[in-house]
Amino acid sequence: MYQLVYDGSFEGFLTACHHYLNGVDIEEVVNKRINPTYQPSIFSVEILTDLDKAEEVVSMMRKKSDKLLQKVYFAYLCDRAKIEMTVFKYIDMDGGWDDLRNDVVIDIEKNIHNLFSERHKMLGFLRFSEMKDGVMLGFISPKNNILPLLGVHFKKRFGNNRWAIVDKVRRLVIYYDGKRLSHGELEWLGDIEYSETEQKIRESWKKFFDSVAIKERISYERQRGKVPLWVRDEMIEFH
Amino acid sequence: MDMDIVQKIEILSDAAKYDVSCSSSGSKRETPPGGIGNGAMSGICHTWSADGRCVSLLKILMTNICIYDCAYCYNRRSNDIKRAIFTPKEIAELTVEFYKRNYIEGLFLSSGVVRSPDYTMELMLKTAELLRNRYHYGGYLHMKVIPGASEELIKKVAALADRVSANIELPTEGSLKTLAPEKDRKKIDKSFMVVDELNKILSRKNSTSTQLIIGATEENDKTIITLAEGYYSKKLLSRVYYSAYIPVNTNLPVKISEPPLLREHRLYQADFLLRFYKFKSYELFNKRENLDEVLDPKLRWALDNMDMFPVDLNKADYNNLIRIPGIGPKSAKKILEARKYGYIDWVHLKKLGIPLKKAQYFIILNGKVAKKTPLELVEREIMKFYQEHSPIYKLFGAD
Ligand code: SF4
Repeated sequence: MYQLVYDGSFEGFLTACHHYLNGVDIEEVVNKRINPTYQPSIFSVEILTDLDKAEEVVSMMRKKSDKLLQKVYFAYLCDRAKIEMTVFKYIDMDGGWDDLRNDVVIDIEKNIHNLFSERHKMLGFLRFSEMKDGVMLGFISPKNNILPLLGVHFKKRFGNNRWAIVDKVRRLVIYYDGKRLSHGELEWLGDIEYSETEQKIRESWKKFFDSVAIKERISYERQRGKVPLWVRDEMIEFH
Repeated sequence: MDMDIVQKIEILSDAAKYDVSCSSSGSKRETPPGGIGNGAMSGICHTWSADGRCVSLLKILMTNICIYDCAYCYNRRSNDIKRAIFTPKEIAELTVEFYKRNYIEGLFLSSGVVRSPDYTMELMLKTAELLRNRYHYGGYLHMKVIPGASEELIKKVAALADRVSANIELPTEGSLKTLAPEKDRKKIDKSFMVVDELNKILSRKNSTSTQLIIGATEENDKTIITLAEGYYSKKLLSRVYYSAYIPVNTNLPVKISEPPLLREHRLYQADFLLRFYKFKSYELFNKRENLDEVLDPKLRWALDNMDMFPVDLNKADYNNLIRIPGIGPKSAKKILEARKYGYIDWVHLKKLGIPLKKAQYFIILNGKVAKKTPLELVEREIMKFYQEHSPIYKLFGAD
């Protein structure tokens, strides 16, 4: 009965899956990236990410079904859901990945739905600030690992402009330099210097935000239902 | 004399907020080369204002100066209020700056009528031209057309915008005459037709919308929904917004019993049934003049037509599934999807997350019904309604 600890990468996740498929008796899987302070016990094993093992699992999935890999990747991104074991079982199935009468399938589908609904909300809630050098910088602290799913949207939208998004929880970053999108881990973030107009634009936005509410119909409760307090950190209109 | 931009925002967004037609979804455009902004197919809310409404657009007036004197309007010329006017450049810049910070999906520009409809329309056109041609802005752009402006101007504006709208405001020509004597339904309809013509030439889908004020005059729900149905079936409008009247001027009290927001809600539900569920307005009213206050229109329709129930979930097609109270397009699709793998039963419905609270009274599965009559449901809905809306219940609660 082992507790497998992996580094939080997709390759690490697949390596853990490889162990599972080879009959290792797993009690729990821990993602170290979102649980940096986890307490190892005598049953904990920190596994080394092994690209060959990961590749092996990938080609096995490809053989089973075209869509399996993508589904599994999305499920992996639901890293707070603790569904690693479910995903491993899902990978181990021989067909029926669409059968909504199966509990494993339902569990996966629900979580993926959740992932995309968080992504969709974040497409709206994300705020960029203009840096002195013209780069637009935004921060997020999402529940699921949605950062990899945000890039394409903003790349399409912002043309040749340069921008970056930082996931503060996982310390991941995506950066678009006007031509290419790159992913990486955040090592260090220097002092942030905003552009000259940044302050004025924020002030304008706040003024707009405050004056669009119809006073006769104020309902903070409804507002909280739509924009929960925990997502407001980076939304300047709430500060 | 020069007013600070933040001050203008305060005045001109305050004046624009009563217009509810603000959905930005359904437009698809690529980011222009060297520019910024595209259209997203599914609407994105960027924040929610304190009244709990989705904010996706910079919704603002070009100016709140107006030569007209509509009785229901805060900006009418006889009101003594602070007036302001933006330059086209100011609005264009504000839009781009907000857009690149991801505050908004786009701009919704409306205006009071300054000097003349043509003059106003020209100011708005300049704004659209700046955005599209100078800033290469590809984001969402919704422009109000000013009825009475020249056809040519209206077409130019519509060509640059993703969507245009013109408010019908009041459900009958009679009440328009009384409350907004300077407005003319024929001119409003004319602008819809001009835009429709242009869309045909450009082979674009018509996305024109309008707003109706509910509760400032005495028209019943049937008149209102039938009016909307007419525009939908002629394909002149893609969307009608209903806005419960807020008495901003003391001379014009609300004509309809409280709560106006509930009525607005019911009208939206009925409108949805027209557009997405293929209902006809006469089915929803069944000799009544108004929608049921207590029961939502779909449930009300089902109760009027109990001979069509129970529906067999293993046999019904999509159109019949979505007519079951409590089952919408999402649930219907799930059911059809699950059916591919064989007969479904009650346990599967739970697993699929199909809400049964209402539906269980109207369906049959493998020869079994869960409830014989919907009486219990009706009772529960009535209780719920009074708990939510009766002042006595609000004070003392119920258990
Ligand atoms: S024309 Fe528009 S802005 Fe002017 S008074 Fe009428 S509703 Fe108000």
